[in-house]
Amino acid sequence: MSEALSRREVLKALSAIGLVGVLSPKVLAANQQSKLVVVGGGFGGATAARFAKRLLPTLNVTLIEPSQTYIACPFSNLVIGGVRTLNQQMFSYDALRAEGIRVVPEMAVAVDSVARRVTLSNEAVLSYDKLVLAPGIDFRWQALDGYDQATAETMPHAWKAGVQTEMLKRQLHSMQDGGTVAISVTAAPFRCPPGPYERASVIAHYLKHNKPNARLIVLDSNERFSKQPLFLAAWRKNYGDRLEWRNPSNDGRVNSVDANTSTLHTDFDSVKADVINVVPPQQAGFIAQRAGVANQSGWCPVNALDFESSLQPGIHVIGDATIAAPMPKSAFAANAQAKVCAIQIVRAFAELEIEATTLANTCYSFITRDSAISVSDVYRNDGGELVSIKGAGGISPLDAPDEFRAREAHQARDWFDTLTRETFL
Amino acid sequence: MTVSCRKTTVPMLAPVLLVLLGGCAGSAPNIDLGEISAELNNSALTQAASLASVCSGCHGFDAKKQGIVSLKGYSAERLSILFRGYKNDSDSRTAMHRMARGYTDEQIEQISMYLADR
Repeated sequence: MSEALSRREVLKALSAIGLVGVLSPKVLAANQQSKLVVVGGGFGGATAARFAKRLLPTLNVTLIEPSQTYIACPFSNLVIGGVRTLNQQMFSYDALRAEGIRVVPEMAVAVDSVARRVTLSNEAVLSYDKLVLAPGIDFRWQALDGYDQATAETMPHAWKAGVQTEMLKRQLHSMQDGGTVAISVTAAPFRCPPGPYERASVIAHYLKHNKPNARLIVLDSNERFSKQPLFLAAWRKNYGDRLEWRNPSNDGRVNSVDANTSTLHTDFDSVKADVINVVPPQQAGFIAQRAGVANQSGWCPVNALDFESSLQPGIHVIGDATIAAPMPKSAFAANAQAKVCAIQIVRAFAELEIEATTLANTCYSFITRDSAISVSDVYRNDGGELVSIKGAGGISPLDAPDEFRAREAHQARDWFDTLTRETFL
Repeated sequence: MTVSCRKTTVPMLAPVLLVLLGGCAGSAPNIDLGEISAELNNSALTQAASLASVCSGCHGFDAKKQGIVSLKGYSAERLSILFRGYKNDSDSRTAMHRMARGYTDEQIEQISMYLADR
């Protein structure tokens, strides 16, 4: 290349080989100072911040996340089962900082969608051109009678990974052989649809090998659940009478919790257990409620073309907080939505039309410590509504041999490594 | 099957050009590297990029994987053949077989060309 080469000539050359051609230099110059603020540093938020910055390096990207370390929920059931450490679930934001993203360790406490400003817990105010909310979930304390923040200190939910995960693990591991473990599962929708049943599998596996006289009972507010035939078959085969699952038709719905007596109450029964894990009622994270992007259900309706809120223009919502069914509340879905959202936001900055795309999800669940099952689905975009593509997706075969389940466990580990690397490392 | 040469060479050329531009930026002050790299990345704003963005959730681009194949170093043609192989093998039910059935042949071409030679 010669010294005399001008910027115009470079662009012309790049256009000729198909690299450029959609953005005018004028649009880019106008967006030199554009600001993207992302709230929430999980699989959705971290990915959105990262991809937007990579797509438009001149974009000013700020990620608001109070925790210095992210503790991943996928695979955290294996920590409870004692086959993985919590350290293996931890990720810092150093790689994002190194890519030029400003990471602010505060809580977002208010959003002014007209003035386009976010207020933080330290009273700082950030202005934005585009806002992405990826707040995950909050618990609806007392929506299950008797279950609140204080109760959760003795009856862990372990549905946000961290100290709660360690607490449930400690209780399980210090329980005497012959004891009873109970899991209460709230009615859908909740984070990670197959999560309670993977947890039941991992705990049953632990009991079988460490406390053979102990038993596990799952009290479920759902008649049916994700990957159900696969889980039921795996439970019969591996855990027999050790694991009992009751749906509402079999008096499985828990109506109230008594922490003092360590008891779960259903319509007609009371189940006293040595270790109680409550998967509590949930809603979109705090800031979603404050920003006015959640509806009466507590979750956030979105236009799935670009994940813009149906309630507040200029605010995008991704991940567990959204109503994106049939796409589930999963880490993989949040990561996939974040990438599409980032692409569409940068297209909007470049004054390009929004383009519909096809999304997909894959989730693995362990049924023993070294065998797993999966569900996958592909979704087309029908004018902002996601629709599962018929004939595609589905669960692992019911009749698969053990080697197939072992291979899916290997795939699950690769899935975790790849997804966390793309998001955080 | 025909694969466009022009498109498959794009991902390989991009980093090379960036290095070249970086090398001459000091001697040619009228070139704004940040601005140009932003324009370079516009290939990542296409329909193909949106479609392919799902793939990297499972498929990395580095070697040494036990369960899920790395996509490093495949040609567009090879990717497309493999992808359509998953789609059309109605007897198999791995996660990839189940996913592949959700994509049209045209989408598979787009994705394969976008991911080629990474």
